[in-house]
Amino acid sequence: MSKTQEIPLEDTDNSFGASVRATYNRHRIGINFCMSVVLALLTWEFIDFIFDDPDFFTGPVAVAIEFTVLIYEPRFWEHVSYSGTELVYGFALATFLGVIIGAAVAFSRTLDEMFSPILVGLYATPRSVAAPLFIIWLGLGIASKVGVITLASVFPVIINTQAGIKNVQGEFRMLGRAFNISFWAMLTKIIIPGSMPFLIAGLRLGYSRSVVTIMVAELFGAEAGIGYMIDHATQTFHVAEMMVGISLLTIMGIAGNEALKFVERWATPYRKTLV
Amino acid sequence: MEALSNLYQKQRKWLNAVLGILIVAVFWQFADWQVGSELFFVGPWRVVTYTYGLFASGEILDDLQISGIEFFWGYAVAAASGIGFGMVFGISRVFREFFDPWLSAIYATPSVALAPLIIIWFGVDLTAKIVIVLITAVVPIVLNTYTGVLSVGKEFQTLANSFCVPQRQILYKILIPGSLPYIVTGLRLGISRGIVGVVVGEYFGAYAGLGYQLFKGLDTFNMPLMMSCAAMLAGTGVIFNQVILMIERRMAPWRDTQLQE
Repeated sequence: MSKTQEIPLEDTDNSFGASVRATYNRHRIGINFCMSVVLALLTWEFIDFIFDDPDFFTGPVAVAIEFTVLIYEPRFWEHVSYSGTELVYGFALATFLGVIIGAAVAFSRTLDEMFSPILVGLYATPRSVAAPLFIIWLGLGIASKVGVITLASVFPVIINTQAGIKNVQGEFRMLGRAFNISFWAMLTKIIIPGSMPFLIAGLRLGYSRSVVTIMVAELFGAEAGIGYMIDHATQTFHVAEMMVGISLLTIMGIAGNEALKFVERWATPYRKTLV
Repeated sequence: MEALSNLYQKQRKWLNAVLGILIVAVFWQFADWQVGSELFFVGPWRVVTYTYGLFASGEILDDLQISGIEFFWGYAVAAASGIGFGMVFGISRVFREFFDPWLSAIYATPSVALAPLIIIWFGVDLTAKIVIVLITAVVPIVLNTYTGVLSVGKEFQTLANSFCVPQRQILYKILIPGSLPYIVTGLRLGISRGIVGVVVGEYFGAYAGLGYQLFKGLDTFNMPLMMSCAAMLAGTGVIFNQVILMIERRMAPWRDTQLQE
């Protein structure tokens, strides 16, 4: 009791300061978030002000202006839709192949022993260095980029699918077997829901790799795309346009990741009770 | 016969792994025969003999050295600064809350995209490539160290506090060992990113290096050269990965590392 009485006594002098501090403590994550964004943008603009050379460095204001200019150019939307198509096809193919291969490796012990060492080995290699090879095999068009993106993002999906299926608790499977449920019911009621969190974690890793790989895939030869736009802008010293492209890829990465988080919450409602 | 199947059962893990590699190699070689043109596709046997030729004539040694220097310095600085920053982010709450939005933004940004800008800033020298390797490799190291520090059980820190352990010892005895598996994962992820950084950096102008040879192969339709450079780059990734895993097993034998980003 004595403690609760002491606090208002101290605070009678500067009740305004205390209320500010209380508000800060209540919303400190939000406030720090905003302050961090504002402070970083100010620092960035300040560095730009010091350098004062648009060929070498651009501040956030110039980037924002450049963005509002670019959205009226049809060429810009061509780049965006080109990269978007690559991303959708590449990621869809990686998901499809990744789930199938991951399931095959999870269900068959022989396949697991045969190919898991290769898969784990390839997971650690820089797979986007194969991008020039894909250009020779599949041409400068969209197919080679889809190939590179698939190759870069399929491995986390495979490995997480496998881990997810193996991690479904044995007692659930035993329960299913005790009730003599069909294979189909076992798959749809136990294995798929149980492996869902792992699968979606794999998809999130794969997605962020896909977005990063857009850049690498388009660097070594392309006809359009955000990566092509970034490369072209840099070579012609349009730093602002380049920053617009990079920010766009960042936004694509964050947006997709948030969307997958939403899917995760929707697909695994039972996880809430665990957490 | 029974002895044979017994042998298989005993050694099945190794036998199957070798069998898997053989199957892949045979399919690859078969695809090579089907394509039949060295301009488009090269089988594993040709890659091995071509790589051997490159080493035997010594023409690849300079490139290996240049790429090695770029990778080594970039990766070393990335590891040191990544672990340092990750520790600071993990320990200091203000730092964490302040930089968290930027960390997740940086994670989603293809740092490779900054490579052309780095070339403008630093020229086509070795420095620029080292910086490119640094910025590509540092991101997973920072993020994993930071996650690792946060994952260290609070009860250990409470225990240390109740025994009045000084802050520095908490760092050395609890935070660093506890986050080691995560740090190692970050270091492993950083390797493959760093190698991509080497290749991308050399794409923008270089006079030697494995990436340079890769693009020379692309420009001259020299498929064996491209494949053997790609294979060497991939092999480097696998070897460094194993080295780091070995170091981890020495330093933190109590935990099994999982690869996660």
